[in-house]
Amino acid sequence: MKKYIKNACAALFCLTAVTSCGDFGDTNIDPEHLNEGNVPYTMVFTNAQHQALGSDWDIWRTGMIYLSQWNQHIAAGGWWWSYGINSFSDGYASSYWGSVLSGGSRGAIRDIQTVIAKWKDDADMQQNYQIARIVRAYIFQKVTDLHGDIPYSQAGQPGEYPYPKYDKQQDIYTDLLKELDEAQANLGTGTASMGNQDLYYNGDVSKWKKFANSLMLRVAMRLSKVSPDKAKEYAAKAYSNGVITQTADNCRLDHSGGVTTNDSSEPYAKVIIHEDPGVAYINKTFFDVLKNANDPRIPLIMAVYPTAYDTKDVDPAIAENSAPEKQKGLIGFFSMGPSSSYSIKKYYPAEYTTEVLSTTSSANYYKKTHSQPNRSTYADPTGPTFVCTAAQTNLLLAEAAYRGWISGNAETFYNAGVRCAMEQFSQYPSSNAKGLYNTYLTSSAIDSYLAANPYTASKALEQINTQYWITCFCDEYETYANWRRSGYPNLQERCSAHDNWSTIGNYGPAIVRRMPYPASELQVNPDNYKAALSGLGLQSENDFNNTRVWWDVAK
Amino acid sequence: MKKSKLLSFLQFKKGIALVLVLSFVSLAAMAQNITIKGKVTDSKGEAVINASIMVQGTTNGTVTDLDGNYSLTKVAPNAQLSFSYIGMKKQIVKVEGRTVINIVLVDDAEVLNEVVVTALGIKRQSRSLGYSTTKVGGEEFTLARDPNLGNALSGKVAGVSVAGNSTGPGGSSRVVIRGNASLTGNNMPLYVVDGVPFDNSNQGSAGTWGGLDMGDGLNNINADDVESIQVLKGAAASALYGYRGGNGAILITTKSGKKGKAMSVEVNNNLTFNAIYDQRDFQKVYGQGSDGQRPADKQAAIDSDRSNWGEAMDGGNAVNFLGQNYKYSYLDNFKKFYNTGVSNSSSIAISGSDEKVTYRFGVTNNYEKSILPNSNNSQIGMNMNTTYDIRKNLHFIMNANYVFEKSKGRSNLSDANGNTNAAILYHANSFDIRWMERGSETAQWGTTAAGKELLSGNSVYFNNPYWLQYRKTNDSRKNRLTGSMTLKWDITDWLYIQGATQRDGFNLEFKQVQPIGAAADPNGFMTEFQKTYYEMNYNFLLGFNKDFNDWSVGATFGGNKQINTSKTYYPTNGGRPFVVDGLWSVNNLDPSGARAQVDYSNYKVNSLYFTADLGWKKQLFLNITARRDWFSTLSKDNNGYTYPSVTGSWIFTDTFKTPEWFNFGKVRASWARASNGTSPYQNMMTFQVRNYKINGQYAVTANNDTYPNPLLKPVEISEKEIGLNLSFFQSRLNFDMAYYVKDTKDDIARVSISSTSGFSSRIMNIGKIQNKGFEFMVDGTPVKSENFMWNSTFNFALNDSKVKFLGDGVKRLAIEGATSNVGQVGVYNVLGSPYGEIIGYKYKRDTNGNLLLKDGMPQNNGEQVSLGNGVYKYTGGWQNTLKYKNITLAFLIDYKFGAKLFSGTNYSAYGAGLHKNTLLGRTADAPNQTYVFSGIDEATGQTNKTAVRASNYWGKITSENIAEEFTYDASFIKLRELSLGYEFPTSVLSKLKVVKSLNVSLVARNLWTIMKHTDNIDPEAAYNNSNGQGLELNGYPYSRNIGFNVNLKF
Repeated sequence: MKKYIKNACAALFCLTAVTSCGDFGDTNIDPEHLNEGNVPYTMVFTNAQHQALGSDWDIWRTGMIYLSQWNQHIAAGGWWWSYGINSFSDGYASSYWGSVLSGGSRGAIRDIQTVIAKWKDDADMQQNYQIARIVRAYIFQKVTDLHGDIPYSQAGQPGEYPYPKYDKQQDIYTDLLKELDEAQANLGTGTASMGNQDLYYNGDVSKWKKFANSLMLRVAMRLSKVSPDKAKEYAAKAYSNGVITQTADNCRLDHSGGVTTNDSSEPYAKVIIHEDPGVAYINKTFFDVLKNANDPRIPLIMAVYPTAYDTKDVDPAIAENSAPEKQKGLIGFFSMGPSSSYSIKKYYPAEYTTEVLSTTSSANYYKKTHSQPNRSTYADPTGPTFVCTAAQTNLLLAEAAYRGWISGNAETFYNAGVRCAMEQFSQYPSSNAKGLYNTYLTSSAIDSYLAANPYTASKALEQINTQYWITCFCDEYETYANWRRSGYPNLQERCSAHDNWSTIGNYGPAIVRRMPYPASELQVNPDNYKAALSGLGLQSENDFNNTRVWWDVAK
Repeated sequence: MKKSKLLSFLQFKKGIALVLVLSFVSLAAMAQNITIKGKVTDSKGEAVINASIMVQGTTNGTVTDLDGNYSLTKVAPNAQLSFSYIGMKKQIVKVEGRTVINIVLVDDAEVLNEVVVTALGIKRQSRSLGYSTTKVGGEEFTLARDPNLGNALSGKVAGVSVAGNSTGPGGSSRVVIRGNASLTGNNMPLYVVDGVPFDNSNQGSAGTWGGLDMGDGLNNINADDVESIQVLKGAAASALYGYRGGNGAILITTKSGKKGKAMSVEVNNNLTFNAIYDQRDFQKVYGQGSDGQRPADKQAAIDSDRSNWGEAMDGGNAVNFLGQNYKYSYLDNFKKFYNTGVSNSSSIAISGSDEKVTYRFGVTNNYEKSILPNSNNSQIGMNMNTTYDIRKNLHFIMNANYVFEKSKGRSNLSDANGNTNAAILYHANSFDIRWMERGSETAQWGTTAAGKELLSGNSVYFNNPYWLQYRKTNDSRKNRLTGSMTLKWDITDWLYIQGATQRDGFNLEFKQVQPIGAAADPNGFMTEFQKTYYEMNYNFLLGFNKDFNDWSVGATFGGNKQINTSKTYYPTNGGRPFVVDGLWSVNNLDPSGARAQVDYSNYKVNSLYFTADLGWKKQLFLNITARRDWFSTLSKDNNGYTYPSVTGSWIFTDTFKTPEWFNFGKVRASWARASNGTSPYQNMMTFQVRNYKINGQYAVTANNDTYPNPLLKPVEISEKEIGLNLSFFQSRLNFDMAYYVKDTKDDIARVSISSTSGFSSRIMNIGKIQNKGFEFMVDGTPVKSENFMWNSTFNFALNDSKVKFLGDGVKRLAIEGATSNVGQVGVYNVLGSPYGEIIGYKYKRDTNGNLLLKDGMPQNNGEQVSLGNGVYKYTGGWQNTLKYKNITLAFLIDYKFGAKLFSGTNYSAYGAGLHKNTLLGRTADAPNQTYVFSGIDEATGQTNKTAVRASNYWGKITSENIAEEFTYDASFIKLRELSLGYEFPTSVLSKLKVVKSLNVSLVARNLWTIMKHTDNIDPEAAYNNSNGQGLELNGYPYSRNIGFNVNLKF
């Protein structure tokens, strides 16, 4: 018997009893990642707020390759040109959608919906919640302005709506106005508890209030053609609530310490100097507008880089590179072939002889002689991204005043707008930018510019919106939207030196007025996608030309 | 009508039976009592001790001595002797006046009376089994061996489909039993080594954007250590593995010492030379160039490094990318660049026993030199298998298998970027790859004098192959320990209890460096990680076995606790740039680069199970099992699932009297339910801290793109099977047949959701798929005489699958990662179709099937459609062993039919003008002329009259992504294995004293592709072993392995 006991003990030595079979404690909680229980939602808000502005992903594709060329801020000295003349790429056309409305690690809408759901009914989080609503409105306006009807009420809520329906742009706009109005009304005073996790204003709710009202003004003015009554109502409301009118109140996201190896840098700058250096040149259309008005901003906007024209991540920071007399706009994409119908030779016969063109290195001559966005300002990866500025708001107020929608003098708003547009260059951090600012954008320079280019009531809309177009450089989404709304400046429909480029683009010469939906939606969300298309009067999405979003009325 | 058909079929069968009977007729006999001597050996030539020899119909008999010799007196010269030994096939031999009869007893492979290892290591009589299982002896892996044991199974077992894809040395294998039961999850069986569940997951494979195949578990098992492999095909066979049994199980038993045998030493060496089996049949008429011109200057050469749209090669002058003149004629860069690979595997094993201990220790050294320069794989393996009889009825069993593997210079596959094979494949016909060796005499491999990657063209992604092999390095090391300790107590002769602790785990280190100067990454980058994986199992089993008169009763009850942990540390995952040139360490990376990162996964499963066996008169059997698994990966109130099985079998030849030549017949039937488990952390949303600060603040976002599912449950796989075993002529002719229907429901899939929801997919129990199939195996020994024996085994399997449900309204579900880098082709599960459809564009055609051309050029059909299925429907093999005296010839032919393969290599060869088809439209005199290709002009509806250049026409097929053109029938027949061995006779060896046996063999693997339909590539050239089979691009060239095997025993 003793032997049996010993044997039994020995057998049990290797036998581990199967204890309480169904209880595994926290085994299924990933210990290497934050989860719903311990994630700081203010940091989730930070991601949403940051990504709301887009990233190099979409700014390279939609923002620059398409929009900056169509807006004629930029001319491509390289491979972007065919997109400027409407070659279609699904991925390029829907990349802001992809960056903010889709998931992935960017996923701004998902993250803002997450914090909204978390904070909505939490009495302690009401200020945070109102701020999140404002950011949400900002993102959705950008997406709907590009695509028209989009998933809005059901977007970013995967548990309830894995296949969101598309809302009418009209309904979205109505809701955006309501959201902004409620948010600004409920913000209260003081500092929101998210504090410095708020990258725009460090939680300063009075500034958020101004931003919300400025956005309300922007949203309202977008309706100037399609729904003037509503535009008037909300423009007046926004104005009386109080909007951003001082440069100090500009809504901007700084990128101090930003580096181009990740998303921490200014996205336009990252594209221009890191992702695709030596491709983006100042468009001749843009340059000529500035040049003809003797605009003192020229040296702060652009520079030539005779030696480092396509080096990555380098700012030579040489002030003379910005000297106004050295600047030159590029007409659009050229062929380096001497016999091509759009050979660069046709435009610069003296510089580009057949001999020069025969070798690759000297053929890059034009890259050394034409202006690029200034690597100390717009192309500075540590510089700010302007979300909503006093310049923009004053100019919109000028238009509202001109239309008689608000009380006040249009000219005063116009002048304030131009002045703020110049002053905002003081918000670039680099010493070269500061030097250029102090040299060229003195108060007297601004005064003489305004004196030489005075507000003229008969040309008010063109003047206001051309100034808007200038100050929105490197906010190509807003530029594109306001250009479509206002029709100013009257852009020539060409982005290339190609003689007959209308035959090259996929869908004809006109500047495209709406971005198609991503093709993936047809695969994954076909019913809602098709319903949205038919709402736009389209059978299929192979149109890349003249379909307009709801507010973009042809008149 | 029907009846007469049936009748004629029966007659036909009868005819076959007659022929078979005739072919097995033996010879005659005579009279007078004599003494007979001889030796009994096993198939390996080892003496069989204690084998019994009986004169049939008498009590006269004897047993063999320690050397296997026997002597038997008083035998009638016309008597019949029976030779038998436990676990070996009994042989009846007619004396026919002979006085010396040497007999080779073979293992009772036909599993009629033998005891087989079933799930959880429970031993059962083969005859009682109600399901299909096949055993493959270890000797079948040792001669014409494959470094990956999975690949070595190819063609050997009906219903086991092996994809021997071109994943290179140290690469993985794909073994699927009875079809793919899971839409997107794991479809490979559970592997169990000496009772220890053994992880076989692939540690890295190539996808759309390339990647290295980092091997799996089966390349860490040494063939010389394998005693046998038992394949449990169906869910009923593997039901006791519960949630892990859904794809069948493969039980590997390693060699152990045998009770009662003195110490012996076995030495084996296997050496093969692996030469490229070049399947390219490219055009060799036109050389480098474009527009019908050879490169006349450096720039033209740079612009056309992989363009064969030049002139007809005439041996005249052309200029290369370095600006040098060269002879414009064909060169074979395969010969200039690749080496002959060498595989050498040496092993030594000591085994034996004494009263208390039975042991075997084996050490193996495998070395494989790749066909790629500066690339090799080496493994040192140690295997230990011991049993200690602590008391007469208390046994302690300890097994351990340790492997140290080192690999370097693996090539990227698929995408051409970083892919050495692609860099060789597409260089122009007249381009000499050796130009790329170095830019100056003092430069390093593949670099310019300035230390930059030396490129031949404009693309930074079409690399210098020398740079890739010598400068852009990758290294991996793996330490793996699999082992167990078991204590078994035989309480009585009918009751035992055992407990075991089992462990399988490895540590994998990987480092890849792209040095400064790389064309695509001028500042370099590196990735380094270390992965630790282990699985622990603690279990007990109580077993009962007793006979009561006509009844035999068996029962077991047991439980298991499983813990799996995997942790991967990345000091850097793509860190860049390097600070100082020449030091390729994370310590030399710019500090602002990628943050270190950790991947972690941990789960537990608790299980309880029982079995009950009932046998009546050893002819009727019923077996019932059930297992309940509790998963840590599921939510608490939803985490227990039960997996039952019922099997039955009836040996009708014991119930009814059958003719003598019909010695065994069994019908069997089974039903079982099993599963495939779930992965951890799929129930709750997780978040990640972004790897940067934005304006001084941290940002956090969702951790992945798949929305969790708190109500997830495991997939359910149920299978019905019926089968038949028949043996004739004293088991010289055996049949094994099975028919099964396997239904999968609630399959876990990542279902695409609109990305506007914030996630791209959600995890759901959605899929339904059915696999049905038939397996057939015939094993025969048509000739068997003293000096000559021929054994032949043929197997065939058919598996038909059908995707039945993918969610409401979902017609197609992409298989993750299964998208070709070129040609816009992907592998999808399509509702109503078999598993794994290849989806891509076809030609645009009219209703008569003519190509509809636009401006003389082909167009695609505008819609991605099915181009065929990537999973083979019919598989099997034919294995033969012929023995004449001491010479053994063995060969295995295997085949697979009924799958398609999209060849990205041929797609690329069209663009490069290398494919022979691209000759049409070119002539030597006018290589750049235009040509009217046949088809209908879509605009006019008339025959095409527009002439276009060949380069434009063939290039258009690729730019339109007409994948149909590159989708081939992947069926093949191959001579997979061949060995010719000589066993030195005892008379010779006895002079050497110590040597007990010596066997020398000539061995060959992948010797001859007897039939295939794929241009330029091998039909088994797919670049990974994932679920998305049917995609090929830039894999390792197929190689033919020929060499020697020497086996020596002391």
